[in-house]
Amino acid sequence: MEKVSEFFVNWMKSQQKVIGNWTDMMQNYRQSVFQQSFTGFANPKMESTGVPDFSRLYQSWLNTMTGAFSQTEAFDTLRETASKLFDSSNVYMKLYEVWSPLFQAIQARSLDVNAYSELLNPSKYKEILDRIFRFSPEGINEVFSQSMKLIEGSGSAREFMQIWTEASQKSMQAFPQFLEGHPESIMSVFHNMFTAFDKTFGRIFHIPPVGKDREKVDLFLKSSDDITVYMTKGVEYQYTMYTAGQQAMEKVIETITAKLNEGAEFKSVDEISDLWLQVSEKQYLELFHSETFSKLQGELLDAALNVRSHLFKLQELYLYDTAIPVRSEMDDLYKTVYDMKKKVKDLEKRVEKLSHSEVST
Amino acid sequence: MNTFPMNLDAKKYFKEVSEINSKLIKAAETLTEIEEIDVGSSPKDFVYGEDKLKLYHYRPVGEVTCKVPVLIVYALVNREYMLDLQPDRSLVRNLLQKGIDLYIIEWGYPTKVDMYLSLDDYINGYLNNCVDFIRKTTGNEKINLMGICQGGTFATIYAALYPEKIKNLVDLVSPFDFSTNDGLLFRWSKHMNADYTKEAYRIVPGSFLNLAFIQMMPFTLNISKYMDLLDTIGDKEKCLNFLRMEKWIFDSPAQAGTAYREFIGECYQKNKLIKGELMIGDKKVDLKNVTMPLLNIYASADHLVPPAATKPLNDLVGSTDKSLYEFKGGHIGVFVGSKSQKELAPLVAKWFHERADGEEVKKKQE
Repeated sequence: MEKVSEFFVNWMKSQQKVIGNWTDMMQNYRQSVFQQSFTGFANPKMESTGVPDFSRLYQSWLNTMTGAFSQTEAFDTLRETASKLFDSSNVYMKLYEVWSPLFQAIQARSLDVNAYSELLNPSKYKEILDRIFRFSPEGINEVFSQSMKLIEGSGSAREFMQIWTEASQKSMQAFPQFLEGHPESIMSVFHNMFTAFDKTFGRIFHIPPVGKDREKVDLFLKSSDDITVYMTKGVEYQYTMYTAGQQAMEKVIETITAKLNEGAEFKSVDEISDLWLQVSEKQYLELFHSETFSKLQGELLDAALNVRSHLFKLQELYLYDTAIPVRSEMDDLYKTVYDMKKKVKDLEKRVEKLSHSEVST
Repeated sequence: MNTFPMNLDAKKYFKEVSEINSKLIKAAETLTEIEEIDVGSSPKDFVYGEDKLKLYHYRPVGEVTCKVPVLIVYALVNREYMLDLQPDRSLVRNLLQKGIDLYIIEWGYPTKVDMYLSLDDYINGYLNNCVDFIRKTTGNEKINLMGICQGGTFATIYAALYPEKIKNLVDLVSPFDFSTNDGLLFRWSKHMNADYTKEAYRIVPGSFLNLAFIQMMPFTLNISKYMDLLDTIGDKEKCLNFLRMEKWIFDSPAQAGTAYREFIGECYQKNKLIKGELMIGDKKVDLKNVTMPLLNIYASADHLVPPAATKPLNDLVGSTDKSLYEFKGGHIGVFVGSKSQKELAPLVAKWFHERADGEEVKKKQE
């Protein structure tokens, strides 16, 4: 019961915050309804005049609620479910942000498939897809930062990795440009990669390996190589996924336009969201069933696993002189335990069999 | 009058958002009122243990009318309590009520010390020991096996290796022919390097596998499912039903690296089981050795183990008494769907009863 009361304390705080936001919003909402000829939907003008839109208010509410749950010691399933509920609602709200300019175009009867790309906010749409597929540019950067920590002793290595971190960040920004109608922007991803390669490995190829740390350098180079492959495959994978998202969105617009032309009426955002969910899932499943995608996914996974394995080996190398048992040593220990258990079980069975045969004779 | 083709405006949208807010508040209330998500409600006794494995014997409900006990072999992936999720959605309870004497294996949660466990250890070791324990304690020379999903693959391999110990075999939604690309798991697994996975993880985390399962229906399982829950969240019982399933989905034991590598490599990628090339320890698996009566059940809309992976078994075994049964539904529906309770449990119970003393086989052979 203590957990429950703890939750309600947090919840109460979040409600107070929400009420504050709500009051502000209602005042602004009233103004916005009078000021705007049509809607209170979010648009750049409203943002520039400082009028808060629903989505931001909602986001604030979700953040406080999710926070309240994360502070309780509730059971994992409950906490996870609550978190996913709020997260799904959050995606729904982000959908609203994406759809908002499209709604206005529909109202103005100016929506068509070709014009939608100008109305779509690619960054917002990318956020939705990132949430659904759990893409995490931060996660990739985390790999870099961990690698950097591992090789803290070497100043040049830090510099070496920094170039790749920057290349990765630049590449992650390519997708919104792509959706904004600049397909050539995806080429910048490869340009970023080649530049990073040239500035790092390109130089190293001309330097003979020296010194007692050669093993570390070799492994480090191998790890960096893995990261390069992982990054390249990761970008290719995300590009494929975002492109499918874009195609799904085009299909949704086509469907809506066709329905509107037939005289149909959409009565709720829910209705449009459902349509988007159905069309998107179908589009992605088509992609997932393709051989090309399966191969790419396998390559990405292999690359990620190689990064992980080599980083573990690097860790080992750095921990080798300490009193901490390292991974391969534990592997040996586990193998010994496994073999001994097997042997003991086998012997027990033999003893049992022998004792049975003795009894019967 | 200006009529809009789309009857949407800010007020309407505001109302929709408010409704979602109200439902979320209700959801928070309902979730905090729940103290426990109870699963596996049928009483059972721990009867045998080995390492992390536990063998349980279900307490009978009324008279046991089937002479031969049934051992349920569940998959290494996810937990066996799916078969006994809640009283009104329990294949186990239904079978007990129909006079079946039930045992079930709980594989446990492997940790790094288990990284070397192989299919040999699981099948020739743990499973064989459980079978022997039941044979010895019940005085039955042969017992019945009921394999679920990957557990069905294990049960069938076991029946091929030790036909002298198995009276009847029932497989539910189990994969045998891995050459199909009907299911995404089958397609994707062909491009995975299981050696790398083992090297990187030692024991493969359940969350790693869950990501793949969720990716198979990303929008339904990440968004729609939870938005739909909001519509029924006020109903505590419905909410609990949802949570039990949710608990099961994400309660995924890790996989011992060696066994995982073997299953992906030998089965999913090389399809050795149906080619007669699969080795379990020093024993070759020949499906023709499966000569006992076989009931092979598949689900018509199974996206995890498609019918194409299940159905070929009946053409490969040596059994003369063999049946293929189509369940109209999906993979999970086989265990918890209302149709399963009404249709499948009685079917399986009847099938075991008819073959408890081998009468059906004799009749067919005559």
